[in-house]
Amino acid sequence: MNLIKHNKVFWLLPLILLGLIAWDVMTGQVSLNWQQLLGQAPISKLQLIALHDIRIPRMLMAGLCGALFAASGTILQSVMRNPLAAPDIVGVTAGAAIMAVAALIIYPSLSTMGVAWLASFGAFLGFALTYLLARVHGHVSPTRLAITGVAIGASLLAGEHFLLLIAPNDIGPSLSFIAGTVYGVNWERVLALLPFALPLLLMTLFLGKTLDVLTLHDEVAIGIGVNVKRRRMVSLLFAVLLAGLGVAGAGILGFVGLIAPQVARLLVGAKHQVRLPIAMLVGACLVIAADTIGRSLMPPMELPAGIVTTLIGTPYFLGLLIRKTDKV
Amino acid sequence: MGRSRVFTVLLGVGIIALIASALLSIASGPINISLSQVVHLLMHRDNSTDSIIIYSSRLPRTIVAIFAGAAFAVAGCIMQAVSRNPLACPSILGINQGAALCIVVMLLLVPGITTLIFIPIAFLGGLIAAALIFLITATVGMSPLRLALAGVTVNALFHAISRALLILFPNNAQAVIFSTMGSLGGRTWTHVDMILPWIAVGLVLSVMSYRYLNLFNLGQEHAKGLGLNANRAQFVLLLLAVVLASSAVSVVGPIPFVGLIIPNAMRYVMGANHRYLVPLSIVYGALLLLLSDTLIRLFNPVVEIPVGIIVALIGGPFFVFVARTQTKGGSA
Repeated sequence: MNLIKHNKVFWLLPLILLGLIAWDVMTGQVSLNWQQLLGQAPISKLQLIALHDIRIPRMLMAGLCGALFAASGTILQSVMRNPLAAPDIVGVTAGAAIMAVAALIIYPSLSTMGVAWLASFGAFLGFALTYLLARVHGHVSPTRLAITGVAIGASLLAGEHFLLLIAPNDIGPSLSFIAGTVYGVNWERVLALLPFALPLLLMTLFLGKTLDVLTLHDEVAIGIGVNVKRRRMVSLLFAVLLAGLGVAGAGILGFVGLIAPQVARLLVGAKHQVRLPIAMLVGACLVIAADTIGRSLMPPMELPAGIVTTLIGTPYFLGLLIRKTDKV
Repeated sequence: MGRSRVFTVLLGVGIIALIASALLSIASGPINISLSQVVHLLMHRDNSTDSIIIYSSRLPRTIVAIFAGAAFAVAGCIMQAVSRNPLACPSILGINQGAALCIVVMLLLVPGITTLIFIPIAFLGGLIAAALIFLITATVGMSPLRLALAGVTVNALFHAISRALLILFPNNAQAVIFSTMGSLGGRTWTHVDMILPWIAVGLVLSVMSYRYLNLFNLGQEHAKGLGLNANRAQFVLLLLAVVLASSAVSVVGPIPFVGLIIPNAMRYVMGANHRYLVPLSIVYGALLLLLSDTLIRLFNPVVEIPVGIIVALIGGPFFVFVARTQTKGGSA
């Protein structure tokens, strides 16, 4: 019974993704129609340029980063045994943001890719800080990790605001990507990210079993002969790398790492071998849809995809908090 | 030393420090005025430039800082008592952001609207945030984690809405102020008149309700046992906290963490008796905001750093500290 349900999700979800991709690339100042997209009607030179140079790389980046954040969130939720964990909460995104700002102040001429890599390094530092501060007597409880993360996030945000204040005005444009947007993405940026992101995503798929074990209580896991500490460390490392790459690609896509794993769990249950790929697909769908919505609300104004995902994600999260009466 | 002695000393020191910072605050700025001149002019107002500067801009700014700081701190104090959770404060729970967002929305919908309705509008926003938090925590009570997560989410939601609005409807400078961390620059007598009645009454009521606040120290069951309608008391006290916080937000913007730092520090020194905690929060909350604002102007009188950012820089690490002590011991 369950298997049939899974099967349905497995072919429906990619179909939805395809639909969203089509909607994404057709939408914009230079719009396309279905016939043109399917190659049954001639395409103008302008449309071709818009499609090839702007929309397709942009769409790829949105999908890729959505999947990265979703994978990161799935890992964090299982490691912290908390359905409400996400990269937004454990200091990852805040670390990335403050690092990007600091880098641009010191090095105003830094390329977007340079900022992006430093931002993902910042993601790592933000998480490391959270982890170290959450450690009491060599033990990091999932709850303490989450609550320390919230506090670290607030501190780093204050630091970021301070830096922005003393920053020269002309770094504004380079910083805009921190808000979580795929505006201005070109092939160069996609191709710079792809060789790191794709292998990492594929490797993450093999973490399924480990995550299933980590969801158990420590005693049980140790009882069946698993080195919990090491597996937890490795998984956390993966989570941070994934989120760091996500930030490098598209800035902070708020709450994607939280919703996508949740939706995946609703669709296919808690088994991580199935949940991980589904979460990635959901994440990709979410960000591509968010970007398209952000562009089509009030053209030519654009809402950054990160704001749209936050606007979708926070009410969902609040609903989750209200309904979840047992845990947390 | 007995509790009441400690209290008297702390209160005295606080008031003296507050007066000193107030004088310093009035003296410093792009044009420095000597302290003796400040004292003289406060006694005998004349038509000199210094006097005009003091009476038209420095004095109202100082008064706004004092009242806003006190309001934020007491709001935090009440929320912590009622929720029995030291992480509860108007900024962490999103009350400040909610109040600010409602003002942003109103400014965008009706540009140039009278500032008189800022406070009711801000109060509405604060209430929405409080209601959200209440919904989340009503069913299972407030664990520190739940509270923190709920706050983060509510804050993120409000922040995203106001960012989106400002992108879609640009060129509204007044609205931008309320979407940042808050500032005291350019506050005038209009602002003083705006908040004075609300905050003054709110503060007096808070001082008077220390008995109710203390009952929550015992836990709701005990409070009920003593014949107190705990739910109603909780509701009324929370309303009071929201009024205080949103009144302050409506003139200075969402300045974070004052309501976290001061009550927690005072409780650490004084214990949890609200007979002492509330007055101390008033004095030291005012002191924190005023002193931060003054120090900024002392170091850099020309380019003003919004005070909210400085307070946030102090408050962030403090938040980490409180969060750590909250979850010490096991995996709770």
